[in-house]
Amino acid sequence: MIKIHRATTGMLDRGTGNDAGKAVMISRDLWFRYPSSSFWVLRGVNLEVFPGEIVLIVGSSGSGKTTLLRALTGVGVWVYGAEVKGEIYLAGRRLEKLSLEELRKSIQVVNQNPYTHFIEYVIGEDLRSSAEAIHGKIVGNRVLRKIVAALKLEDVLNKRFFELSGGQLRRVAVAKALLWDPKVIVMDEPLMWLDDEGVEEIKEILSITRSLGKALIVFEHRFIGILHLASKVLALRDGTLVPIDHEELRNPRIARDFHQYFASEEGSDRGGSELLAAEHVWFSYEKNNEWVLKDVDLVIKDPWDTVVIYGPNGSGKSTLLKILSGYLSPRKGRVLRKSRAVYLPQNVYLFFTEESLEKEFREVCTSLGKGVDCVEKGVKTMRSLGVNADLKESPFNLSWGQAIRASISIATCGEGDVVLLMDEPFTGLTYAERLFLALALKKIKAPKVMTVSNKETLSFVPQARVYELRDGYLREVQTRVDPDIIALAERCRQLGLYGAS
Amino acid sequence: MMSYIRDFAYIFVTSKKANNFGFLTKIISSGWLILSLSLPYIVPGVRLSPAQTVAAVLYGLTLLSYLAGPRRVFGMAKLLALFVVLGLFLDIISVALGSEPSNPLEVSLRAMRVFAIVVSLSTAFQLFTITEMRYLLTILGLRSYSELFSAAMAQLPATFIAFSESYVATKSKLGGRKIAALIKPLVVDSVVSSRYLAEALYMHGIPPAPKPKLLNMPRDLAMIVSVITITVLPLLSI
Repeated sequence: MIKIHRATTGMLDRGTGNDAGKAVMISRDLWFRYPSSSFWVLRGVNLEVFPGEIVLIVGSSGSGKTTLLRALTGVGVWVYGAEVKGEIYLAGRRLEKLSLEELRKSIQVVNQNPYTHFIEYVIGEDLRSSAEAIHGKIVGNRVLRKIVAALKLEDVLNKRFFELSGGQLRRVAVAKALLWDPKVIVMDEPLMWLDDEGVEEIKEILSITRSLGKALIVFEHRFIGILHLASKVLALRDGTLVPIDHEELRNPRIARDFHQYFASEEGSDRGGSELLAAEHVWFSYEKNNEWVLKDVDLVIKDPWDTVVIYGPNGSGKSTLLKILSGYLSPRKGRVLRKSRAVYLPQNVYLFFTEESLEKEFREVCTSLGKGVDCVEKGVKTMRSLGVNADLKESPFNLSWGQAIRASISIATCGEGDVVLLMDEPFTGLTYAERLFLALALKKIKAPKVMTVSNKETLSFVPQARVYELRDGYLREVQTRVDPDIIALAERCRQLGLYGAS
Repeated sequence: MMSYIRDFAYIFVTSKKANNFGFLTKIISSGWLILSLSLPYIVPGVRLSPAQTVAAVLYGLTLLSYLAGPRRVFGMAKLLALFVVLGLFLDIISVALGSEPSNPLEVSLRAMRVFAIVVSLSTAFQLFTITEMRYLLTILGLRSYSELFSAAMAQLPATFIAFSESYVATKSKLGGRKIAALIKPLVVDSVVSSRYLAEALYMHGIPPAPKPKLLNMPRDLAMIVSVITITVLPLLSI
């Protein structure tokens, strides 16, 4: 059972709320800490949001963006039992004075994991039951029809929510939020895991929602695509919000020649025998079903090789990785593996199986029949990748960026050849963290096959052979490095929008 | 192996054809099937004939094929068959270790009965939408549990996806012998997801389950008649 704590907070004691003006949300000197923690995650957050406005909040992994979201919606207090100081006004009323229904009609959230928004499998049924519960049967269905038309959801109503792409899923989650007709909608990393088409979808959703007069607060790492829509940009740094000039992010000046980032540090032992090869691979999940992969060929033999499989969500990139790892078998063709192939999932925390980093290394080394040297080598690699966490630390406590780098060092700690199969390793990272990861990967002497679903990420791997997977076919393509993205990464680092190492 | 597990998992996700039947019919058909197969375990002295068990299995598999598709049912059947074989293997070992040998026919029937119960439970999951299950639990006076149950069921597909990812990662990292280690990341992932779920539920709530449509004739009639026939007729003839 979900226990709701209406904890006593310092928020109750200050200000009158009459001076809220026309802003639909005001936060004044907001402090927040989780129960049984002495650390204040938020330390004096001030924020004003007006109707029809999009506020973009950026920040490094672990900077407290999700915590700010929890504070602004009251979820932090009522679900987590956190301690809050300061004032929050929603539509001119103090947050803690609102009933649950009033709260839901004032602010809604599309959280990082949109799967959690649904109770019924079929989208149409889920939305209809919510609409009817909020507005009654007749009005509810009328409201739902309007929202479905506005967000162009007609085609997905009969689908089950786990069959939708990330973009579609978030679109439906926004529709569910709009059912309450809230003044403010908060979106937590809406672009996470989305391909280029999905990003376009989110841009359209933001525009439509804004045109409905809603205020939007968007927390996002990967903000360049939606920067032009934001009326203000704020960085969450050291527990406070700091305004950032749009122009600084839109036209960053590169401090040094970006090519030097990717100057070769590789060893001389290039080439050699095949480590992994896919030969004329055809794959479908069900017999007589549509082919996911058609006549795919891929050879990896260079220990410094980096191969990028680029393609939209649902194009079969992860499937190809799972075939290369040996988890799925091709229906036609074959896969030759002459080395270990280790799969790093998109949700990198699913890679960790032990309670400490030390045990992670030890278990992998034991499974390979290796001893202490293997563990030491792995730890050394991890340190060289900028992960300085204590070895007794649980890998599940690492930040997203650290977790990816730690998983790479764990996967490569044994002696001998290993091919890294990385599913969207750059997702969920700030631009600065992506640059850092790209540079870290260059130090690893192991071929890497990684999937990427958006073009901007390709700029971080200029040395890679890039293949596009579309309609089941894998074709090598030439890509152009965008120096502006590298410059933006550098600028983000200077602005402190960088993950903890 | 993994594809069988995936197919087995999908058996617990409501079929898109579930709305073809009325709520009352769903209760009668799945309830009758489960009850008739469970009676020997509940009421002392009640025995189920082999013909009844076989008939119930065949009926359950036919219904499941209609609801979930024959491929998924075939995958599930193979996985269940594996457990049955494992059970038989354990029986053989226990005999080798000095236990009294069981009657092979009795062992097979027991295995078949377990198989039949799993199949009949699966048909219930295929037939009832989450809202209907919530309604059923609510009228039984279990409102809080009905909400918990809804939330858990709704997260099932996401859990399957995480399971599949974790399986591939663990197997490629530690090899097949330590595959049980995948439980830990799954537990952590479930905890993280449940936090998001709690937040989403707080912001949206769980709508009350409306009274579902009780009957949807004539499909319902066909289902009720067939399920009663399939369980009662063998009893009369033997």
